[in-house]
Amino acid sequence: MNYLPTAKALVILSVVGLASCNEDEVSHLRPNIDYSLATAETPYSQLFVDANGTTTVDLAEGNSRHKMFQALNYYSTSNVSANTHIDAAKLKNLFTNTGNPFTDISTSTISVVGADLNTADVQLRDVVASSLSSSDAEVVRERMEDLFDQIDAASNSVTTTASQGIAGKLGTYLVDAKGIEIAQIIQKSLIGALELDYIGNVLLDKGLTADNHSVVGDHNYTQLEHNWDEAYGLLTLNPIYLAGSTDDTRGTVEFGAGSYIWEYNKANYAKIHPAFLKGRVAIVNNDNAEYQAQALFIRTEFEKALAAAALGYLDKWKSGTTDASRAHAIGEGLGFIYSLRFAKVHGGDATFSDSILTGLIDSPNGFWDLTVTKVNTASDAIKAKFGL
Amino acid sequence: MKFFRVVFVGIVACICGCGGSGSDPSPADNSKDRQEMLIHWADNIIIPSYDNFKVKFDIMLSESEEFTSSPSNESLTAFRTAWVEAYAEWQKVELFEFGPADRYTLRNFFNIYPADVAGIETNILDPLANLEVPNSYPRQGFPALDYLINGVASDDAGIIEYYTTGDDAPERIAYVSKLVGRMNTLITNVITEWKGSYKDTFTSSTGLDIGSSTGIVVNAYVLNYERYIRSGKIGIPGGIVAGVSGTAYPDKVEAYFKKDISKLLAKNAEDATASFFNGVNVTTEAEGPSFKSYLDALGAKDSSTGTLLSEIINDQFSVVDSKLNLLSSNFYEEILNNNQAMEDTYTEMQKAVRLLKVDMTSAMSVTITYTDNDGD
Repeated sequence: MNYLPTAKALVILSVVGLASCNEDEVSHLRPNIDYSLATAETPYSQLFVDANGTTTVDLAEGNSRHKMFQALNYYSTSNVSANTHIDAAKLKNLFTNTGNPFTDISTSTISVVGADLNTADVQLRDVVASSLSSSDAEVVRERMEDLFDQIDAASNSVTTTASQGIAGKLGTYLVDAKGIEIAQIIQKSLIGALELDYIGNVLLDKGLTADNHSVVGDHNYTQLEHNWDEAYGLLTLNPIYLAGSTDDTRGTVEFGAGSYIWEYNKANYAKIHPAFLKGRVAIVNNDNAEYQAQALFIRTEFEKALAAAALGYLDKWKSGTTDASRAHAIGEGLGFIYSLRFAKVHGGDATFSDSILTGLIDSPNGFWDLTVTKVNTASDAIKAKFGL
Repeated sequence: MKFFRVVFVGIVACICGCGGSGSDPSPADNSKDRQEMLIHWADNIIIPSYDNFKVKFDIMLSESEEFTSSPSNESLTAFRTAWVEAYAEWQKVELFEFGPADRYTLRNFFNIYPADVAGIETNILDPLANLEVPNSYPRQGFPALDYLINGVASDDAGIIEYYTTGDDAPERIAYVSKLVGRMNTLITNVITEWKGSYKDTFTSSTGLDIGSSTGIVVNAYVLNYERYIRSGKIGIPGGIVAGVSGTAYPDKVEAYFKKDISKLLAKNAEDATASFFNGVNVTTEAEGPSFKSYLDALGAKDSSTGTLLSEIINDQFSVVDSKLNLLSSNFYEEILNNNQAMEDTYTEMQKAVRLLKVDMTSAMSVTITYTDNDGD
C-alpha cells in the first residue's frame, strides 16, 4: 500500500528534476547569486557581472530619460522664477529630443550635461503612456504638448498678479486664468505618464516576458536584465535609492517619483531598493516567481505613493492659508490625480481620473470655484480606490 | 519566562509581517497606550469641549434671533455678550481641526480674520453668494460677526440704525441670520460625527503612521499652535516674522472691532493647548493619558540635564503664559503702544513651537506632514 504512492512520487519528482535540469542547461546564462547578498546597503550595480567580470548593468537609458525629465521641468520652473517667457516649441523639443534642445544645468539638485542628452538617442515622448494602445498613448502625448502651449500662454502674464479670470503669478507660482499652475500639472502628469507607466506598466510588467537566455547584440545584458535596469535608472540616479533616509530626512537627492515615494509612502519606501535588487538577482537566477513578486511590490507601492500624494495635496488645499498656497497645492494634486490613471495594479484608468478632475475643476473659474465639498468628494474616491 | 515571551512576540511579529498588508509591527509597540490616550481624548476632552462650546453657541444663536427679529440696544448687547462668550469658548475647540472638523474645515468657516469688510458688504447684497469658496472664509464666522455687531458704525445707535433704517437693512439682518445658521449647521455636523461613527474610527486607528489618529492629532495640534496661535494672534498683527518685527498690522488682531477681548481669546487658546498637552479632563480637571504621559513613558528627556521633555514643554507654556499676562487686554493698543511686549510673547511661543514640532514629534516618531517638503 505504501509502496505505490512513494514510487509515483519518486517518478514525479524525477520528472520535475529532469525538467528543471533541462531548463537550467538552456537558460542558465549566469551562475546563481545568493539572495542574501542583496541587502539594503548594496549598490544596485554591485552584484551583477558576466563571466569576464564585466558589469551587466547599463543604466544609461533610464538615467538619460530621468535627466531629460529634470531638464524639461527645470526649463519651466527657472523661467517662472526669472519672470521670463516659456516657449512651447522649446518644451516640445525637450520632449522629443529634437534639434539638440538640452543645455548644461548645474544646481544643487540637478546636474545635466546638455550634449550627453542630445546624443543619448532616447527621448521622453515615445515612452510616455507607452503601455496604452498607440491611439490612446497619442492622446496622452498630445495633452502634454497642449499643456506646453498653455504654459507658454500663461507665461505672457508672468509679471501680472493673478486673480479670478486673470492669469499671472500667485506668490511665486504662475497660474492660468482658471488659477491652475500648469508647471505642476506637467510635472506631476509626467510622474504618472512617464515614470509610473513606463516603469510599472511597461518595464516591470510587459517587459518581464523579455528574453533572458542570451545577451542583446554586443551588450553584456539580456533584454530582461536591461528592462529591469532601465526601470531602476529612470527612477533614480543614485547607486542606492534613498540611501540613509529616515522618515523625516531624505538621505539622497531624488527627483519626481523618486522623491514622492519617500514622502508619501513612509511605510515602504525603504523596501523599494531591496526589491529592485532582489528582483535583479532573481532575473540572474531565472527565478520567475521571485522577480514577478518584486515587480508587483514595487508597482503597488509606487501607485500607493502617488495616491497618497494626491490626497496629501488635496489636504494642503484645505489647510492652505493663502490663494498662492492653495493654488500650488491643488496644482500638484490635479497632476497626481491625472497620473492615477496609470495605477493599473489598483485598477486606475482614464475614466477614474477624469471623473475626479471634472468634479474638481470643470467649472467656469476652476481653482477659484473650489470648495471643501468638491475636495472631499475627490479624496473619498481616491481613498476608496486605493484602500487608503 | 522572559525567553518564552520573546519567542512568542517573535512569532506574532512574523505572522503579522508575513500575512498582514498593514505597517510593520514596531519592536516597542505602544499601540495599547495610544488607544487609551485616544479614548481619553475623545471621551473626556474633545467631545465635552465641543459640548461646552455648543452650549455657548446655542445661547449666541438664540440671542442672534432675538436681535434679528428686533434690533435694539438690549438685544444688541445680549447678542454681543453671547458672541464674546461663544468666541472665547471656540478657542478651546479650534485646536481639534482633525477628523470631522478637518473634513468640513471648520476653522475656515469659523475664525479666519481679519474680516473682509468689503466682501461682507458685497455678500449682503448677493443672496446667492457662495459661502464655501476660500474667498468667503473671512466673510463669515466669528470675525464677520465681529464686524457686523461691533464695527458697522462707531456707536450702538449707529449699529442699530444699520439694521433698522436704510434700504439694505433687511438684507443685513438676513446675512447675520445666514452666518449664524451656517455656523450652527457646521458645528452640529462635526459634533454629530464625533458622537457617531467617527469616535470608533478615531480610537481604533492606533498606529503612528501618516493618517493614524495620533499622527493627525499631533499634526493638527502643532499646526494650530504654530499658525493660528503664534502667527495668527501675535506674529501677523505684530508684524513679527522669524522673531523680527517688520511692519505691524494692528488691524489684523483677532476681534479687531471689539478690540478688548484679543487677550482673552489668546489666553484661552494657550490654556487649551497646555491642558490638552497634559490630558486635562474637561469635566473633572484631572490629568489623564496625554502627550505628557506618553512622552514620559517613552523616557523622553534632555540628554544633558536629564530633565523630562514634558517638564521642559510645560515650563515653556508657563513662560508664554507669563508673557501673555503682561499684555493689554487689547492687542490693537498693545501693538501701537508697546509692540516689544508682543515680540517677547512671540519669541517664547516660538520656543514652544520648536519643542512641540521638533522635540516632541521626534520623540514620538510622528512625521510632520503639514509642511511642504518637496521644495517646489
